[in-house]
Amino acid sequence: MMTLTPRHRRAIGTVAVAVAAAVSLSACSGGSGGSSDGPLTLWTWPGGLGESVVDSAKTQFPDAQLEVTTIGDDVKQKLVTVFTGRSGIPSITGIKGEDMSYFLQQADLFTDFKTLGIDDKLADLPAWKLAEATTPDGKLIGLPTDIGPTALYYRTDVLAAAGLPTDPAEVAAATSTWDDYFAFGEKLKAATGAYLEVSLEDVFTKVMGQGETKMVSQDGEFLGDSAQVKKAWDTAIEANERGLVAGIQDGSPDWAAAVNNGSLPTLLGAAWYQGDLKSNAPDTSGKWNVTAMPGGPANVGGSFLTIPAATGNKDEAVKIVDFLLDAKSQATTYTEVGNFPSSTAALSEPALQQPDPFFGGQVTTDVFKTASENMPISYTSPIDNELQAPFITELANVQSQGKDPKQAWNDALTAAQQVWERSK
Amino acid sequence: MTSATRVMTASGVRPSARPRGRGLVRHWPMYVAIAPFFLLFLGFGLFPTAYSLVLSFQDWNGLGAAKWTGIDNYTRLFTDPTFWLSVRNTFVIFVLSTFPMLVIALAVAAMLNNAVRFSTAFRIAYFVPNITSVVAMAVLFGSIFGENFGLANAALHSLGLPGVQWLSTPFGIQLTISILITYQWTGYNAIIFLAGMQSIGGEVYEAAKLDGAGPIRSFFSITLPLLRPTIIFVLVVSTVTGMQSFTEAQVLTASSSTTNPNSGGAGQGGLTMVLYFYQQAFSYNRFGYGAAIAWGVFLIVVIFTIISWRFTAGKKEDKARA
Repeated sequence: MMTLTPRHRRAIGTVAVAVAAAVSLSACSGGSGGSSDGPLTLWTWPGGLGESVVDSAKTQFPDAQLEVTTIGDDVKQKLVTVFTGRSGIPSITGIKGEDMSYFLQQADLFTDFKTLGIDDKLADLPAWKLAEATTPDGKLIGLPTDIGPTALYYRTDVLAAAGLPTDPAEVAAATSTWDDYFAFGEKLKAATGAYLEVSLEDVFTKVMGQGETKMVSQDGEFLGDSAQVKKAWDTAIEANERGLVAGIQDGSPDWAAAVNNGSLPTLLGAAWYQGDLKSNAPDTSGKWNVTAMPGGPANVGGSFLTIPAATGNKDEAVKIVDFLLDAKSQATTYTEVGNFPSSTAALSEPALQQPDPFFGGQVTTDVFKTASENMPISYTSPIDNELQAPFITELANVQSQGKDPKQAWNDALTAAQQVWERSK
Repeated sequence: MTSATRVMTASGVRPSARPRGRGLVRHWPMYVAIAPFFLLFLGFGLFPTAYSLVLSFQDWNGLGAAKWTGIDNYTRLFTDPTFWLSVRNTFVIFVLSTFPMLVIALAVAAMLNNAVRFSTAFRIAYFVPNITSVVAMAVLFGSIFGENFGLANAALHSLGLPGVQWLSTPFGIQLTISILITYQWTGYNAIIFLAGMQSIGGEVYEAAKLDGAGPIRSFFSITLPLLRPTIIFVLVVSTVTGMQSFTEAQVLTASSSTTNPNSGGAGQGGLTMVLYFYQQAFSYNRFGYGAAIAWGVFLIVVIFTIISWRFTAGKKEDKARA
């Protein structure tokens, strides 16, 4: 063996440091989660839960040593990573509504809430939203934090200028079906030049949301050519042919400009849309009202809290979930970040029964409450979005390039069928 | 290596049958010193790359068990009209951005090369777009190229010209993305061209001047030919990055829609190859097919890098022979 010169000793020191660094790095990644003694971890995202609600959960459950991580980017992708790596899985995690059907495919990664003895809690939550988190064999893997019942938002000043009714009940009566709504829009356009609808995609997805079926039936049948999809398509095409569609991308700078200047005085949006409106068009405060959506309610968005199966201390975790979702907490979350409560009891809280000056003193909660009570229950397949995408793409082609609607429908259906064939 | 071996034997260290191995033993501190990079590359570069190749032969949604499907993903890739549309989009954007960018960058570099005052300030100014966040720029461009209330159309209107449907037609989207890429990379390439120009000796220009060549003549007869290695480099790098453009298209065509995410906007005009890969893998959880698209992109990038390299290098040989 060679003798250790000072130079060699230094080098060994370097290796030791490198090894120590490597060990501590891997220690980081293999951290908390899953163990029964360690602190409970909770994953959410910016605006997922009210900040003071999370803070009071920490003080309410000191033994749980709740650690909250606010995930800034794609939560679904982070969850996929920790589930695949079987390490660092949070004890409680939020799942966005649009990702629920994906995680339902691997329901055994989560705890069934029906086994946790919280039946009174479940009674307080809307059945149609619980259905979104229920497996075909009846396991419930998530509890809704918020829901997105839709309504018709409208500018009273623009409607008044067009000689149209502005009272919520009268507007609802004049726009109860899509056909009535389009006739209403024609009068509006003739008088003010304003558009009724943002985009064809908007009409299509809203009509789809009103149906009791989506792209796949619960028995695994392809429904791309069903009457429901055709109805959604035809309604969108009709809006376009009657010249009622602005053809703007929802949420874009153009959209904000149109909402502000009154050229887009009617919007179909979920309850949380109130926040978008207030932040994008603060100068229009007092000019808005809300009423029932033409053709009945749909749901857009709304997230869940889940307890992964790997969580050790499930009793403590479910207590925290229960606290985060009780009526008072949800009302606080609503005032802080604008998420519309899933809890029926929360809708009677003072915070939700306050007249809103932005909506001319209207108590908007009642409109969304009625919408939630009349919501259809439908089945969303994990590939629902992928199957709807070709229809939306082709509707955009009709809108922006004047593609023949018949040709566009055939192309969309062919593309959806291809997606369906491949995913079998 | 040989001298090191000799030293080791001379100093009486246990001789080894394999001189290379002895080199490794003798120089291990150096290998340790360079190891961190290679270990990180192995873990976070090479392994994922190799694994994505395995993945491309499977059907995997990210959570469940992966299913081996052989070359299914690849046969599907070659018959997938959306993939070929994304290839086409990528090429249109590549051509619309790279060639104007190269010409402007050359002109900027030539001007910077002659600027006497504030040349550092100009260089910094031209480089700033390259180090600005692409996402921030794309958001800004989204406002500038808004159809009804954007700055670009306002400028066109004030000149009495009709507005352009920048973000609601496929070609408009491709044009806007190209302008963004051009804006972002012109300064970077100009700096590289400038470095190339400054390595051309002043005596060549003096000789040309004596022969009566004006500035334009000497640009085309001296600067351009002697700059050829730099141009090859810039073209190859631009090909590699242009074929993989993603962020610009993703942010500019982003919508709040969760039903049809990352689809490239109107007529899918902004759906580049990498955006299509991203959509399939991360929006629709088709990781196997996503990996196959990524390898398709890799093949196309390799082919076009070789073409652009052979094209410019081949011309050089012709010149030398002539």
